[in-house]
Amino acid sequence: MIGLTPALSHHSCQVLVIGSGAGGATTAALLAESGVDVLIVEEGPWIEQDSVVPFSLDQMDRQYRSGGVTVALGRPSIAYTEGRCAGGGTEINSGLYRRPSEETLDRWRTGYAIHDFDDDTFYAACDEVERSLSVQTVPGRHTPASERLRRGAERLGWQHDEIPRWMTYPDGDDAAAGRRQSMTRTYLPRAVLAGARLLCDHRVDRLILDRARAFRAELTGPGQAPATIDFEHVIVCAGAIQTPALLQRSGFRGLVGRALSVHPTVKLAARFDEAINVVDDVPVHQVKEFSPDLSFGGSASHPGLVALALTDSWAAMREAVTSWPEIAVYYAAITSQGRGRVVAIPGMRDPLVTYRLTRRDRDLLGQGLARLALVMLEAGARDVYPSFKNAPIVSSRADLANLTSGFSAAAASVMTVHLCSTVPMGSDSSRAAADSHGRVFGADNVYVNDASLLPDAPGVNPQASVMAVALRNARRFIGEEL
Amino acid sequence: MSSPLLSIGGPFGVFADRLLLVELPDLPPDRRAATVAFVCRRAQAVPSPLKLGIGILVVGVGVAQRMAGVDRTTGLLRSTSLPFVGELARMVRSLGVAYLWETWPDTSPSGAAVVARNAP
Repeated sequence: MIGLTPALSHHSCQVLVIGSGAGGATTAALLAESGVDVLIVEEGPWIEQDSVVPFSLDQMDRQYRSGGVTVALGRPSIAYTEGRCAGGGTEINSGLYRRPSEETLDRWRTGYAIHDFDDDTFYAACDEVERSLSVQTVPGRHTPASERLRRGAERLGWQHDEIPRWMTYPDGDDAAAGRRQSMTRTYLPRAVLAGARLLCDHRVDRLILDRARAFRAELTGPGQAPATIDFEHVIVCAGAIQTPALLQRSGFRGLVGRALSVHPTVKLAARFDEAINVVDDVPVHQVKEFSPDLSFGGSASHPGLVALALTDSWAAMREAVTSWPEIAVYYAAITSQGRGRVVAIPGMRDPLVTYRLTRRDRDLLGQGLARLALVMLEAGARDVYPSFKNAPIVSSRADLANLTSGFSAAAASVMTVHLCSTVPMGSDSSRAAADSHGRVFGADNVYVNDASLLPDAPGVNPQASVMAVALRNARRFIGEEL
Repeated sequence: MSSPLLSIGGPFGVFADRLLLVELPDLPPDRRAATVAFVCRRAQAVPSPLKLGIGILVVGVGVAQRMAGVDRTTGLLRSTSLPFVGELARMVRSLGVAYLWETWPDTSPSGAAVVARNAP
């Protein structure tokens, strides 16, 4: 474990970085390695990666915000998860890595008038991230659940591929024995080695400003102990929910928190004739035939999550739960035209989060679930259990019509793990809340450098986008703001 | 801050206990108690706006439990499709089964303690 900064009632630093996930850790490492006096504040604890079972309830208790029970309200409400620990979401996600497409970069650049945002520089930053995190495909065998997904897509003639992960494989070809190269293994140690200080278990309640200049942060530490930090610059990297909430609590309004974008996801459980369940890993194959609108992949599938996938039609599906070793959970994710909001409410500790799916989104979720069920049947599934209220058990192609006709997004368990766009960057102030390099409009020295800056959800796992943008903005900050 | 409405002995805990009793009739009492405790702990930890909403809903549940009885109230909440109100049973069921099968993977569909099968 790296050395943590002890709790004091007052700290000071040149640059305060709030949050230690994909954006914050990257930012802090680059600044510290350039000789900047950096203090990183993280709301959650430092948890050693090997001390928790991935995707377990214990991990949710220790590393997720609110034990993993966080919801964007709407019809349907969308369950989401946020990391709340050193390393943020990188400690709890599946480690899948995908660069955004050139089309996505062009959409962001032109739609939000983002300056200095050329493809070559962006992809060079991706190269750098990939080297730092050892991004690679599995060197040997894949998990049975991943192989099943690949087989189903192949039999349908649908495009599919293996998504690389930021993993090392010290045991050679065992896909389930990879070591995650999350922020606590990569950029946070780098930052601390270069002199950055890391203060865990402290929540930043608000920033204090004198006109357009922030100069102090008010914190709450363990045991509700108050503390303050004085700084010259502050870079907020608390994720797409907490970043806008903190800015709003500090007096920023305008477009902050008004355009939450996610990849809504629906799930099903598929039962095969032989054991395929790997309790602590996820499949690495994805089906991209309908990308970017729709993509299919595999989810964590420990017995509790298999049971969870059956609960929407529990009375009809519960008999399957004893077969959990033969069951794996899969998802269909969509790119959404809907948007949500994050609103800090005075007197409340947490923000209100809402999300509204469009009619197209709801239809696409139904289409996605039906197509995913087809992939599973082609992969050899005996039964498929879709996650929506009163869903039919699908055992043959003939049952797919019932699935499609019975599907209603309002009755489905919709969730997401990709949250973006609550402080979008760009020079078009009618759409963006921060400038092209993350400085919040209306402030001289308040920056954002996390998933909040992405103009929309990129249609792929967003960590590559988040980290490449963070590298770009941190370099620009070092070159021009200090 | 801990809310008595969402405690094991409060209207939410009573509802959770009864729902599990109905849907998992063979679940041993000690496991049901542990599951209810987990569900209540998670409900206490939800973000504050959501907790306020659940709290308001649970006040109504408490009144209904006193006036109509726990069984009828539980039956109504299990079957309703009203927005947000219907989410209460869904939340308890989801948290409950996730905890139960992660903690005791050999649980039978009716909640009985052990089911014979070949482990993977």
